[in-house]
Amino acid sequence: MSNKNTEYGVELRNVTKRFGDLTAVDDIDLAVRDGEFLVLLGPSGCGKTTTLRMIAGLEVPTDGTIEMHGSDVTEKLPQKRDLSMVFQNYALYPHKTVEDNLRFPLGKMDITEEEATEKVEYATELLGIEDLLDKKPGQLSGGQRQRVALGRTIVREPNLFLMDEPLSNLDAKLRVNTRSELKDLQQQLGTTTVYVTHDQEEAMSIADRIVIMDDGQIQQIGTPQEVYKNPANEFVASFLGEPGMNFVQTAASSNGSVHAQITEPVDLEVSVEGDVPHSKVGVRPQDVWVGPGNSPGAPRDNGYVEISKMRLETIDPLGHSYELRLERGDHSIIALSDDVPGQVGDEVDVAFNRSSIHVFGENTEALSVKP
Amino acid sequence: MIGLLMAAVRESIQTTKSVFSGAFRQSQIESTLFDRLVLYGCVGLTLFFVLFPFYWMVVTSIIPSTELYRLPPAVIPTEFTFDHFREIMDAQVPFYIYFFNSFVVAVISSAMAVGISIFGAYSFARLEYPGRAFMVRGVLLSYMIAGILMVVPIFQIVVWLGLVDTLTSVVLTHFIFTIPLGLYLLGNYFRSIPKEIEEAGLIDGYSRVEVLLRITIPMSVPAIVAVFLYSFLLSWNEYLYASIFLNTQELYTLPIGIEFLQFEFDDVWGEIMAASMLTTIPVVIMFLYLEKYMMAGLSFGSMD
Amino acid sequence: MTEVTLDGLTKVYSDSQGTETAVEDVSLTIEDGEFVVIVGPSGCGKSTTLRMIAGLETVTDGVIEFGGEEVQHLTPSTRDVAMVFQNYALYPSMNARKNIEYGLKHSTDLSKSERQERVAETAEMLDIEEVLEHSPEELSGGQKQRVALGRAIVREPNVFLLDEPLSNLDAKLRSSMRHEIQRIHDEIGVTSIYVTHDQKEAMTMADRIVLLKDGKMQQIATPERLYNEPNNLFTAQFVGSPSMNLLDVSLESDGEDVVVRHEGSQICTLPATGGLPDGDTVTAGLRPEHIEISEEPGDETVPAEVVVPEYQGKTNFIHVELLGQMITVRTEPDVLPEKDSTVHLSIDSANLYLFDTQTGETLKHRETTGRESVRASQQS
Repeated sequence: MSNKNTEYGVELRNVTKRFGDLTAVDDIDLAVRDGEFLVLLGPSGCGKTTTLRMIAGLEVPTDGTIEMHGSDVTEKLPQKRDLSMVFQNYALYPHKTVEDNLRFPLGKMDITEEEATEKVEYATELLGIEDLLDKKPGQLSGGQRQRVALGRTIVREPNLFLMDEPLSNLDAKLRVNTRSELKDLQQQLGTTTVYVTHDQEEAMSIADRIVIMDDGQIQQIGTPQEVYKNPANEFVASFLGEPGMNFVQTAASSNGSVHAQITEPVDLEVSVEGDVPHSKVGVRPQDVWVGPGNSPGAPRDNGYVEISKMRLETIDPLGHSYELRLERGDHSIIALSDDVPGQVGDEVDVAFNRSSIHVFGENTEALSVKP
Repeated sequence: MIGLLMAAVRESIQTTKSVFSGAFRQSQIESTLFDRLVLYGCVGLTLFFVLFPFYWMVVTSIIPSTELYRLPPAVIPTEFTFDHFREIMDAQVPFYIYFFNSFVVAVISSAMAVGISIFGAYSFARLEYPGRAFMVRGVLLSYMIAGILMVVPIFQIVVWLGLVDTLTSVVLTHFIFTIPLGLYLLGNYFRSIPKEIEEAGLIDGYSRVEVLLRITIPMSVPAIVAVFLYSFLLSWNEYLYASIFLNTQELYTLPIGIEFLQFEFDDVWGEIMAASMLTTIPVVIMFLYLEKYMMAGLSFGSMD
Repeated sequence: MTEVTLDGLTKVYSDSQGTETAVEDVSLTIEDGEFVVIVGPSGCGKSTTLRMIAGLETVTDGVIEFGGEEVQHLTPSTRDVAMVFQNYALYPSMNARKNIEYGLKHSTDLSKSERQERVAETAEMLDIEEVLEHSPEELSGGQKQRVALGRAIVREPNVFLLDEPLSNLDAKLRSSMRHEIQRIHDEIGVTSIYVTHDQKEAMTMADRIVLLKDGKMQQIATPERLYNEPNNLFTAQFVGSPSMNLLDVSLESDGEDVVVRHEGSQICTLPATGGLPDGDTVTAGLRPEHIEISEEPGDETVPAEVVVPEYQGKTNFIHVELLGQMITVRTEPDVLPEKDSTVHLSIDSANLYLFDTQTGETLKHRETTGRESVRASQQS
């Protein structure tokens, strides 16, 4: 059916997947560009893994079509799709050596023995696993197994890599160190990659584009900068960024000006286009200024608007900065600060950076803000 | 024979040591002398009741009959003889014939059972088709039917097939009875293998059958060995059907052969025990030797 | 509410394959009500240590004391500890309420109404009142973990043990549960020992951190001290994400200053102070936030090539190659140079750490203005 969009590596149209009563994926449209590193991001159960498995051919969509390079593959078997996949638990063949694990995928390719050996050597070198070739998976550490799993994925040099949370079983440290290596690898090989994760930090650091999913639906697609700076709705805004965005109810007002409701309304000196009813404002922790209670106040010329005096509840050291929790009445705000403006229990000044205030309507969608 | 036995025993001791050192190294944090006494006492008593009959069997087979009937019975014998063994070998139908028959029947029926079970169990575990759930449960249900209920219907089929008084009929019957267990055991085992390992093979271009043969089966050796052993044991010890289907003495399997001994000799206990010894030892060796494959563990190392 | 003391705690596993020392000579004292985190890479012995404190592993050598009394030979049930596991370990046949109540029924003498009251209080504290009647399989991961926590704290134990309770949760859920656990600890004040491999969890939750490697203690300190004053190379690298950058450097004194060189090129200069051997090869350490990046070369900058720029929203991590070595720099959100471009790094020697390459020992710490521990000020 399709014709013109052959530049797109993979295209999903109106794809839905139901398991009995449960709708795992709900009518999604997705176009993966050639050579890009696309990340499907979302909480557990949002449908990202199911989507990946449909692209792989391990699940068949209940509705909709999947195309690869212009041809319809919706019903094609995984064997015929020329892609490879890394699983969260690596799924290495336990009874084969590492070398045999790498060689096995080549068994079905129409190549000579020497060509196969060359490909295995290439993958081995790329991942630095030369001294592991004779070992069995049971003798390797988690990090080593992960490399072998990656090696097995790239050895066939297919058109598409699929990765299902390949780093989530690694130690936190190893995870951070490995992901930039993974990104570098993909850039070297230039292969289109679709990657699934629930870790937004990981997604932002490696993706060319991120697809944020929740409840089987796509919430937003964009580059990391786009989705972080301009989230389309409250879900995306709160999902990206750690610690998450602070949300404060707004007070009802006319002519689009926005007031935050913290015991009494506070004029945020921003307004929204038109007269759309709004319900919440969002501010990221790093855009919250906290000053000692006796200070002259927030630097207004730097674009901050004062909010309120609040009580400093907790101070958590992150090493390079601090995470502060501020409370007043029922309201709780998290701020990130390089230094500590007081002791626990002190009254401190809190201000928001005006240019970083997000406003959300009653339907949770983001509204455009005029400073 | 002795060499094999020694090797098998050594293997088994090795396995037992490694398993028990695991269990007992993390021993009781706090146990009184009383606790331990009671534990060892119970274990000892149980072992005694289980092992004494075997001990007696061994003793009876190697002492002269006269010693056997003496009162009080000699628990630790002083005189030994191999006459009983010689007797059964020199009988009208030498004992090793029965041995051969049992072996052929057991090996063939177990091999067939394993072969078919693998494919059936795989379909239970991985494939979807109408009626699958019913069949999975039906397998277990079939076990609830006692063997003796089926004798007449199966005999009728055997007659109809013209297989009365052939080893083939016994082979087929044993095979039919061991399949359900094979399907059940292997089905569970296959289900416990993470499907991602097979999916990786599929994605790499291998067909289902190739995946089954080249990935799943090599990973399932412990379970397959267990099914084979169990089927072998079942067939080796099976008396009821063999006795009904076989008429010619030359075709008898071991259990019937042993029963027949009583018609051949007087003072028969020594011979019977010798025959029992010969029946038991091969299976014991086989089990001791193959035990380590079963303990070798599951899909260890491929998953995280 | 108990003080926990470990003295020379050791665990050795031995079987037909050989012996393995999982934990070696761990000694520390945990104050009553303190939240201590034991952290380290996989296989460092942290879970084994926790399980010995719980009584789920026997002790090969050493003493464990609760409030001055030796407990290492007691069964877990007599030690009055409560434990939360990584995979929740809820009783699948009971609903949430019964799960929480179970421990109470067996280890205390409370009447049924008293037990119900406690369960209700705990459920309120953990915000799980609505799911009390559900069975574990109907609960989400986060709810299951709350029920597991509830089951542990309802008994008001002496010591509260947590074995990587957040590792099975989604990243977002992890951070909200982290706050929950901290809040509960502040409310109840029970002595808690928490095991994790995630140094960020350790940094934000702990009153003090115990760092283990290969069964041996590396350092015990408050989070800030551990971060700013690591006593060896391993500690310096383990704490902090992204990791501290390490470079092999040589020191050369030229009268006034000591020049720090990597691969022959000068990186920065140190004012000459006593104690630093000349010409030696030592390892220099720099945290990613202590390196400045700019487009233009400056007075004492060194050039580097951008390999992978990582966008993180509130900050960026730029991975650059400096004289053959990969370095990570933490920058402001608007600093995001292109891949393969050249940038210029300036390094202030005050931020430099120096380590002995052989022993890993710290030779020079970063110069900070001495700050009291923030946590100490929270104990008001």
